[in-house]
Amino acid sequence: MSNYLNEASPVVSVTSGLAPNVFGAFALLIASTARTSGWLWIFYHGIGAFLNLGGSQIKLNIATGPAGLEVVKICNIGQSISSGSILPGGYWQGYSIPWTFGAGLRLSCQVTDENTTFAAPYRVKIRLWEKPFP
Amino acid sequence: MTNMLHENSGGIKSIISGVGAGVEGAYVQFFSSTARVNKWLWLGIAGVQGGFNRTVEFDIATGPGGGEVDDYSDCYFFHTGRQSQNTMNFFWPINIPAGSRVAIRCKDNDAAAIAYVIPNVTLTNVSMPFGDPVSRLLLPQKTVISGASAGVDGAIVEVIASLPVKLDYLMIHWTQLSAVNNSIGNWDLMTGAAGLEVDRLGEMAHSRNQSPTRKESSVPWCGPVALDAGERISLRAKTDVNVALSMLFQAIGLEYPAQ
Repeated sequence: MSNYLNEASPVVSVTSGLAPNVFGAFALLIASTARTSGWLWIFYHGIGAFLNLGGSQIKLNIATGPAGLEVVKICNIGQSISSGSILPGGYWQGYSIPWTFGAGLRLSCQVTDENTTFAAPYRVKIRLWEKPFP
Repeated sequence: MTNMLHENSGGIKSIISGVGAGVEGAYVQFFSSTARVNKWLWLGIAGVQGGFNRTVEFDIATGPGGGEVDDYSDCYFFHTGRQSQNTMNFFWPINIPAGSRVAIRCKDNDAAAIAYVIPNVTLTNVSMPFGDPVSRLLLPQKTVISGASAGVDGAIVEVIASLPVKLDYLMIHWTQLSAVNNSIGNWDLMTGAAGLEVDRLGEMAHSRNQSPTRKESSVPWCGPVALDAGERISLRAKTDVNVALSMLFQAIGLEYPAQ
C-alpha cells in the first residue's frame, strides 16, 4: 500500500430540524480521528420523495466536541434543489475542503433546509486524508 | 514547476455491483500499468439504470488481477434512480507508483447486479499545492460545443490567449445548455498556439441527465495543475450522442507560492 493515509466515516443518517432553517440534531461521523488530517471530502444528499419542495437551500455543519458540547467548525456547506427536482431519490453534492483536524477528535454533523417542517432525511459521508501530501 | 503529465484510463467503462445488497462486484481494470508516479486522481461516475435511492460504494485498488488491494475503499456515491445523471466527480489526492495496475469495483444496496458508468479516470503527477494562494484569476466564461457525432471532439475554444500568472490549482464548473437527455462524454484542457494545441489534462468526465425542458445544475471540478504564465488555454469537448451540445465553462485559477 503506497497511498496517503486516510480514514472515512460510515454513511451516516441525519435529519433536518422540525422547522425551516432549523438545524437538526448532531449525528456522529467519527468517534475519534486517527491522525491529523489536511484534506476533507464531504458527500451529502437527501433521500426520499420529499424533494418536491419548489426549491430549497440545504446546509450542513461539521462540528467537533463531545455529544452535547459540539462546536461547529465548518458551517453552512450548502447545496440547493431546484423546483424541477421532483423525482424521488434525492440530490447530492461532494466537497473537497483543505482543513486541518487534529487526531483524537470526535466529528459530527447536522443539517438544515429551508422548506421542510419535518425531520427530512439526509445521508452524509466524510473522508479525511493525512497532511501533508508529499 | 513540475511538468504536468497525465494519463487516462480511456473509454467509457461500467462497473457492476454484486448480486445481493452489499455484495461487491468484480474488479474492472482501468489501468494495466501506470506510466509514472501519480499524485492526483479525477474520476467521474454516474448511474445508468432505473431504480431509486441506490447507495453505492466503490473501491479503488491497485495490484494484479486477483490480488487487488484497496487504496481507497467505500468511496460513496448516491444514485437518484434516473436513467442517467450528472457525473459525480471525485478529485482526490492519490499516491501510486509507476507500473501500478488500477482496478475499481462497487457494491450497492440493490439486490440485483447494477451497472454504473465511469467515463474516464485521469491520473496526474502534479500534487496538491500547499500554503495560501498568492493570486487568483477568473478566466473568461466560454461556451464549448461538442462534436456533432458521438466520440468526436468539437472545435477547440480559446479560454485565454496568455495566462498573466502561473496557475497551480484550477476550479471549473460547467453546465450543459443543450436540451438532450443522457449524454456522457469528456472535455479536454489544452495548451499551445492555435492549431497546435495539445492536451494538458484530457478526457475529464462529464455526463448529463435532465428533462430537455429543464436547466441543469452546474458540475464542479477542481484539482492541481501546473500551467505557466504566458500559456494559452483552451477547451474542447465530446459526448456519446450524435448531436452537438453546448456547454458553458467557467474557471478560476489559483497561484501558490513555490512549493
